[in-house]
Amino acid sequence: MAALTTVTRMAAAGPGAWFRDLIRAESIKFRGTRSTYYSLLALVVVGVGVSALVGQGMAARWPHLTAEQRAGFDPLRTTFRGFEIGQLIIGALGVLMISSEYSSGLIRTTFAAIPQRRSVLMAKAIVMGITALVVAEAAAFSAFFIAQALLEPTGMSLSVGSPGALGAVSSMGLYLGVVALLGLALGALLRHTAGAIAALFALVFLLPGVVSALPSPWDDRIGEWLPDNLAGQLVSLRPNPDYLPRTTSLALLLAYPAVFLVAAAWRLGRSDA
Amino acid sequence: MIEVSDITKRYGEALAVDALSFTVPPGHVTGFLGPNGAGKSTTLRVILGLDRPDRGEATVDGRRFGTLIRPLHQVGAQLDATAVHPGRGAEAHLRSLARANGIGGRRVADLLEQVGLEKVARRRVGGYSLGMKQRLGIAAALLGDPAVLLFDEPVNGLDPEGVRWLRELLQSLAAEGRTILVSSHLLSEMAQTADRLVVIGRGRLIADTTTSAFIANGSASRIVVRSPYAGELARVLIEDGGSVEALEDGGLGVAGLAIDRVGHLAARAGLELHELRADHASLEEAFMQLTADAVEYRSPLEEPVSAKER
Repeated sequence: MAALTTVTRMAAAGPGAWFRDLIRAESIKFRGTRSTYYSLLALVVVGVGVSALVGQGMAARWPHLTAEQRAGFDPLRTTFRGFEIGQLIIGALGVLMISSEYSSGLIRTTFAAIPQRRSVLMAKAIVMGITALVVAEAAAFSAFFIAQALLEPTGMSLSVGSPGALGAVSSMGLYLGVVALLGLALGALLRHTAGAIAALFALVFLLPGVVSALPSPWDDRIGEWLPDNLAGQLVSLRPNPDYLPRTTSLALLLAYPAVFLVAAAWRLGRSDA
Repeated sequence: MIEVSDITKRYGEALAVDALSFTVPPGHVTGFLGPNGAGKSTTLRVILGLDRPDRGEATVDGRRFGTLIRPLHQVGAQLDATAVHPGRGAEAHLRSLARANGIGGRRVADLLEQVGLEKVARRRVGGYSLGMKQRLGIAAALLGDPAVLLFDEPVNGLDPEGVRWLRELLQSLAAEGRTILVSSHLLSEMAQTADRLVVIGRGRLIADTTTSAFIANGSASRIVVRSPYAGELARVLIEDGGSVEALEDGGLGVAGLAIDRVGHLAARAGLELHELRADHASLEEAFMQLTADAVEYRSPLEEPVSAKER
């Protein structure tokens, strides 16, 4: 059977090289669809665009604001409004990375080529996490520089060197990376694009509003655990004193995708593909 | 070599595969036949470790599929031809599968050429015809040059030229000593391609034998003869030891006589013939006979309609 040996065999390459190949394989898939580029572009356009609009508008209205309104102005959180929509875009991209494999049936081809399902999920998480983090940080910093330049006339503008600014802006990018991984984990858990996007939307978008309507102290006691408010503690220059402190918030924010990914890996190992 | 031993698989209440055992030896094209819902795809998914059986196990060359690292070098599979991401090109699809199995880009380019997709390799798969998707699936199965190959309904959507290409490909792969398992509901196609058959119905094994033995054991092969003097011809044939049945269209079905004997008897009696042929539908009939009880999804309209036609 000489014909069977024409392909170079690399099975002896070791687990490190094997896993690097899985990451490359996922990266080829990720870069192989246009929706990846459209989604990332949309994130940048919405995030940076809205911050420019808000910066511009705020600068124009500034002379007419009362002292009280001026005191309540957070030049960071206010100009990052666009990322509230942006988080849904990057989250949907995370969902689609695996739910599209289920909806098309590709997942069976994938697992028939790589039976190590949890490693596939891990490779996807690495590709998704790194891409989302890099693009989101770039978007967050671009939004920051543009908005702060536009806010110059108000005297409220920040520079990277301002106390807390660097940490707050990079937290914005980090949060978007977290949401992308949450999307991936929900996509793997629920296997349906619409269901997983709805679940993600509820978790990061609807739940904070619902919980804030609860009677005190439940609004804060539950609300402080939600990803949106954990991120708020990190991105805001003046964290909410009723919520969890920053270090705890950061740890919990990172724990979210970890817990959901572990749950997704558990389901992948148990269920039929 | 594929070994399926005593597999049972339920989906909720539905029993998809019921204590199924068979082996697929190397060096042959083995056809995997059964009506819709017989459990063919389930069995293939169990062999590939995609679905976990409730009982029993399937091994490929003695190992469970799930334990293989970079399995494309040992087992290539084409499952559902439409199971590709519509937004991705054939090249990206194959390169990703290849990379995960340590196979280089050179092999991907060669295969795209071999299956005739090199010109559309970068176009979105969503725009491909079913036949093109089948070729892409076949290329994916061949990536690692594996000794064991599984194909689920690969003929669907292929044009006649594509069907011949696939048949020759499968036979040459088997001639190289590989193990080939091909599921199909196109029995006539399997009769020309497969030299062994595994037939299942309602998740159970109906036959595991060579194609020729399957045909011989099924309905006895029959000769169809047509003549304006059917009554007289029937008498002559029965006198010579044949058994004759009247067919719906006025022809005669003859069993127990060789085809040249039927021609000879008609000529000697001076009876004009309009048709004389061996009935090639015998595999279909053997199949229908053997799986008659096993057809799970029969259209409720089927019987009244055919009754009306008569």
